[in-house]
Amino acid sequence: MDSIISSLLTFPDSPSLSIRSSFDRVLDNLLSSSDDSVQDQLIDRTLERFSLLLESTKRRFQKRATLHNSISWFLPSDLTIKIFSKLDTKSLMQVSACCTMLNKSAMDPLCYSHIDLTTAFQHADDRVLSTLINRSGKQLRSLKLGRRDAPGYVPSLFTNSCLAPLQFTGNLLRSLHIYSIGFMYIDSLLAPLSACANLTDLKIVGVNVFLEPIIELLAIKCCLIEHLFLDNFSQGKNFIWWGFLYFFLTSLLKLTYFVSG
Amino acid sequence: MSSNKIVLTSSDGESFEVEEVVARKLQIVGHMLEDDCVINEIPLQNVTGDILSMVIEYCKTHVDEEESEEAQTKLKTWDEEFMKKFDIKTLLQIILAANYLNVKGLLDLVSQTIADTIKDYTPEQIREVFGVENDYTEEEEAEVRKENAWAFDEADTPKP
Repeated sequence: MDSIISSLLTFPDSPSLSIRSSFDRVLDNLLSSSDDSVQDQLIDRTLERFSLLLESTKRRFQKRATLHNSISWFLPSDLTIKIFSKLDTKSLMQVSACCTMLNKSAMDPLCYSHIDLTTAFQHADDRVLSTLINRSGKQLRSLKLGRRDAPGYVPSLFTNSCLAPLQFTGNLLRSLHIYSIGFMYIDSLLAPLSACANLTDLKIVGVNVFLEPIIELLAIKCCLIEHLFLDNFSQGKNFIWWGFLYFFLTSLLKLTYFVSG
Repeated sequence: MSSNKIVLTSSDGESFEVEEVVARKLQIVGHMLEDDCVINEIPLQNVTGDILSMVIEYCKTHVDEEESEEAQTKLKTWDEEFMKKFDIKTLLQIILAANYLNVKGLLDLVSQTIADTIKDYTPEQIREVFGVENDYTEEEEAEVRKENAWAFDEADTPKP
């Protein structure tokens, strides 16, 4: 059988027209001399064998491409992952769609230790974020959400519960930046934040929440805060009671940088 | 400062005489020197001469990293210009060498440079830049794109 297939495939190049007429001729011959059931069987068999051959050819072609890729991109996967961990998350998805090898590296939890969705603010929603946090396993260190250059209030696909997954994985998070993701109930922010005991850098810009309860919570639950940037566009320059602020900020011993809108 | 010279030899037999302080920037060399301080010629098996010369150029420039902001800015500008000299294939060679020779600063610099090249490109563009071929089946590719549909603007999703 192998030799028959091999001679079919290695038959010297000839015009496809002549190959086609050979096929026609042979099939006509075989079919004309038999009854209907034998004809049916023959047709089925022919179709099956040629679709198998087609599949084999495609598989072989992919295998060759995979091999070619391991030569073009000759880095070991730990270096690939090192590079990918420096990408924003949207770019990471784009590169993962290139080929199977890069996809494999792009699924490593280390590639999701810094989730940055600011370049995908138009499409990213709660489900996307929760999938990505899942992929990060225990590696999540920083998270950036929303639209960085937002002119003011902009609609966002994120809902109130978008940060909920942090309640389970937030304890390793060091840095959280949230930009203009619209209105949030204070509780939907406080609950996840209270799980982020190792947070050192928090930035909340253009989110419609009260800032006092956040500061109060940080003083109790997130004592390692070093960088704090809070800017509420609607509360805006509205006053925070500075005596209150002073009381809580002094309990954040490590704080070296604080800005409030 | 020690003015001791050390000869580094590449896999293709090219030799480079450098100051010991420069050679020590290659941590692999640093470790060898600690183990036995009398070596003055070190063969480096996994790196060719043309790549090694670039790594040495980096190490020479970074040999005394001053704290001052001015010096830091100057180094940063030098780094940027240095990276611009290389095509993508060479960058991949350099990152491999920086990893083997254990030059952390260069490793970070090159991986950032390659990441910046990948950034904002569509899968098709990345394939072209890195000479990578699509080895997905149609179903697999559709699945990967569907799973991460949010990352693909409609404009760059190929029409079925």
